[in-house]
Amino acid sequence: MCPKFKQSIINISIMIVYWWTLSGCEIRPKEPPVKPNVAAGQDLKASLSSMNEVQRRRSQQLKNSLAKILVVDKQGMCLELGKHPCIDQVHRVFLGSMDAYNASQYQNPSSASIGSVGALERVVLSACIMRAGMDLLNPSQGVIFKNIKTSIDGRLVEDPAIDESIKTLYRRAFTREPTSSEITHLRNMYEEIYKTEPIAAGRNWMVLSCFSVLTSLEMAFF
Amino acid sequence: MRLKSIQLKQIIIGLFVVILLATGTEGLGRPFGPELFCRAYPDSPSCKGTQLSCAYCHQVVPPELNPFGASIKSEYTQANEVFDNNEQVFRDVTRNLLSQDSDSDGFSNQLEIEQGTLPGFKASVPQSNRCQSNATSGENEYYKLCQYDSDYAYKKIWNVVCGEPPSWDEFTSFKKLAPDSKLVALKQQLEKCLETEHWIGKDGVVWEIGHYKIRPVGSVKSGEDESVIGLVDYYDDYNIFVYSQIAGHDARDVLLADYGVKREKQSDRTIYTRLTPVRLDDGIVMQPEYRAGLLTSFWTLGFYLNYTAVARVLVAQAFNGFLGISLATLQGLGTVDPAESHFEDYDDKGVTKPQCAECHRTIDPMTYPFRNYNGLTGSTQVLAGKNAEGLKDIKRLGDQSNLTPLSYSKTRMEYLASKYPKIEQMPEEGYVLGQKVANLREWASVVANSDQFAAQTVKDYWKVLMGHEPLAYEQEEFERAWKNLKTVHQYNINGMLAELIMTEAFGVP
Repeated sequence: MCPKFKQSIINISIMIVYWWTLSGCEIRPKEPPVKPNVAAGQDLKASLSSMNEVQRRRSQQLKNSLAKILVVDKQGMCLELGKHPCIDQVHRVFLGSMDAYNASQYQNPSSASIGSVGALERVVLSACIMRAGMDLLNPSQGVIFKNIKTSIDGRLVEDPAIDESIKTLYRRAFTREPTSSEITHLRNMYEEIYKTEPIAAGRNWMVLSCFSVLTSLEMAFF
Repeated sequence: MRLKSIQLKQIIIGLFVVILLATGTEGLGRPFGPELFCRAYPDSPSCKGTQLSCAYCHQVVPPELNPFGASIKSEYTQANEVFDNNEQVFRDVTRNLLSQDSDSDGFSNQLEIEQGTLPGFKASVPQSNRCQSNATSGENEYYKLCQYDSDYAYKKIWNVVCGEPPSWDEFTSFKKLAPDSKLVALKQQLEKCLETEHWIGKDGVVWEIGHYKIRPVGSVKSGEDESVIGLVDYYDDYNIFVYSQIAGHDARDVLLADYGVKREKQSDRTIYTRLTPVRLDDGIVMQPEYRAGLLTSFWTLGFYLNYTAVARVLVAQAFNGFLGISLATLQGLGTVDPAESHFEDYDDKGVTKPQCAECHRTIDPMTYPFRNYNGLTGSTQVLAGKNAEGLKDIKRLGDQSNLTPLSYSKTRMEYLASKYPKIEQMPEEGYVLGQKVANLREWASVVANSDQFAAQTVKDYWKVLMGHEPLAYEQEEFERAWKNLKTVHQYNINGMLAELIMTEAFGVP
């Protein structure tokens, strides 16, 4: 065999091994992506309540809840222009609380306003980015995404820690276990994220898993 | 002492720019109507722990009648009767209306009267207990539907009172308890949550309940969280309010306290300490023997009494904040004989004109006990050195014979007489909630011991815990709660809350 050709084969083999090593057993999009075959909550075996009485999680409750669930700083979890607290000041009324001192609102708003959803999403997204960032920095001490493994370019590596993280997220948020469909939903979401942008897909999945769960109706109301 | 006088002067100067709030209502209504209705139908929830609103028979602005009011008028016309204060005639005439549905909302007037909804407004309809009217019930992995669910109540206590959800470990530990132990644990958890900053801290739940009672204005805030125009510190009012609501204290003290309260943070925990009533040293200008809780606070007298001679705005605010009665919408009006109440037009506002007197013959006698309580009246003269000799001597500061702002002053009427010649004839005794009172402290006592005060106090917390005002089918539990607040709990809010968390309204998902 020609030495040059032999060297090329060796080089290609090394590259394949190197690529395989780097990529680990990362989750790759299947073709086509697996779609969940159950509607959200379908396997949540709960009867409908006749009372139908839920309360909105207002700004202070939201702040305290996010701080407890995600173990993030109450004051720093979302800052407008890096300075003004989103919950206490900027979006206080959108998040369901009154602004007595500055706007002479002496009762909580009775209904959500047009900016409520955006405000909720902003605050939760900010808090989730903080949590995901901290868990990525120190996976063994992760609060939600404990021991999550990612490849060198940020892809999620298949590991039991993924399901465990989903379970932890639901336990901390709703004091219940996730249903099988909820786990499937979040797992499938990774594939969508990966298809959109493979780089740092693992980190984005962590942020968006947290975001999707903590902006659900189950979180917005209790 | 000299420093305090200077500070007082500075505060008074600042308050000169606070704009006078003035109100006036003109009504052609017949204020005996609400009393008449409640004598005829005393069991209606609309008559228990509150005062019937004019909206029961009128459109939002009387005298225009709503369909129910129009029906009553029609029945009186057909019966050839005069609409006066005759309870028996009213009952006879309205009997025919009970089976009718005046507002065409699908519910009879009788049902609406019994349920406490408005029989003249289509949007106000009785609500039945959906657990009784709907067969859906049962138990699943998460909830016990249509029955008291301790697990649900546990999480709700956490979310509402602690302001955060329980942890997984906390909840699973609770779930493992036996049913009886769970009920004990619920109360224990409530006690813990009642100590959290979310509940008792500055801007906490209790503090925020005080907002509509105090109605702060951030632009004039002085002291802590001072604004650009720092004039007055209403946080003193919040301190008294929160203190009266926590740790087994007497909720009536919000209107009866002769003391101030100090708030401080000790290692992330807010501590409220009752101060010995010593004038100025406890942060209050009013003489201790004339104090009546928030009614005589710096903020209330400075902002709501201000420079006015007759305390109509202050009384309207107090009724709104502590009784849930809006005088502005003609609630809370009764009939006091003008001859007994000495109702006159003391400040030349025209209140004895027939169209005004209908309401003001009730409103004005409620203000008379504030006769000698000074807001800012005379402060210009005080600052100019007139009537101000006492200010140079702390022992005479606010002497009753000296016109001192924010104090009890017997010379106040003399001073105002130059502008309102008849004002000196205004008596100090007055009427509130139909009772004769000799002075403001008696006034405050009548209000603080009233059913309306107890009901409004419970309603404040009901809204926090349940997320809504008491519904028609919750009236029984609501009524029991405010009656027990007066008796069983002796105005201890924490005791009342322990009762509320055991109600169906709270614990049935």
